Amino acid sequence: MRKKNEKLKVYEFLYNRLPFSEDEAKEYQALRRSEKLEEAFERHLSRIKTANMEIHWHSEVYVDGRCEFIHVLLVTDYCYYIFILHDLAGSHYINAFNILCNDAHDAVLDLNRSEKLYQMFRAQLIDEGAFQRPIIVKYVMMNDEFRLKTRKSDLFLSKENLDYYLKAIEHSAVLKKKDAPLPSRLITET
Amino acid sequence: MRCLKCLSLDFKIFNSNLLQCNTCMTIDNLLHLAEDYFHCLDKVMPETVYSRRDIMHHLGFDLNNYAYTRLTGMLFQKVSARRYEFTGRRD
Repeated sequence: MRKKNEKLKVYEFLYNRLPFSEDEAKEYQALRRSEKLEEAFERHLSRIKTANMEIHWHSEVYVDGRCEFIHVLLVTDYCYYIFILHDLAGSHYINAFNILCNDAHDAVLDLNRSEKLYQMFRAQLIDEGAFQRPIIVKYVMMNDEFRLKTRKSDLFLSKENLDYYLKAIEHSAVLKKKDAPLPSRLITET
Repeated sequence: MRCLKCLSLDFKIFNSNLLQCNTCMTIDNLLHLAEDYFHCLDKVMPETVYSRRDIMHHLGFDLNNYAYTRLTGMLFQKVSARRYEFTGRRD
């Protein structure tokens, strides 16, 4: 069962007990938004069987000196799934520099970071033996009002497709062939 | 202590086990709320030692002897006479 982010717990504990700086107040609001998104994602996750997968919630990783928040990491026999949740609303498009922009042409999300994130996880999530489980990064748009114009991207997963995607993960979570070699224990580089 | 859902400080105490938040009407267990509270307090002020008075002061209300003993037995470890250190839930 998902536990609340420890950092958010401490922030809630300190809220109205100690003054927050501007950065701390922003971080608190961001953590609260993330918590709501994770709750919503957990409702979708509860519709599938998760006995055959490991679920890791709210990890923070540093990519190029900036903190990236990974909301959910699903580990199955076949694959690693990294889900980053967003609640962006309105129309967006991907510009020529692979940056997600809104209708006001403001940059919202740098999609190039997903490649760096992938490389970082690839370097750390090493399976013993010849079979290396693939790593799939998905930005999940949890807001029904999110629209992507022009060029589509496999990086994005809409809320309406999330259930189907999770169902597909459930079905493929376990190696079916009895004589297929299991991926050996995971080695994580520290 | 605060309600874990709405962060309100306003509780109605049913008995030594159950509390209800008067703002969002969530009912919660005293042990659960106390564990969460002292767990966070331990992050801010680690290795703090509490007396009976300190624990009651932090909880915000008095407990009867049975409830107090139960709480300290499950969540605290005695470090000296009438002094306790928070350890988390021990079932």
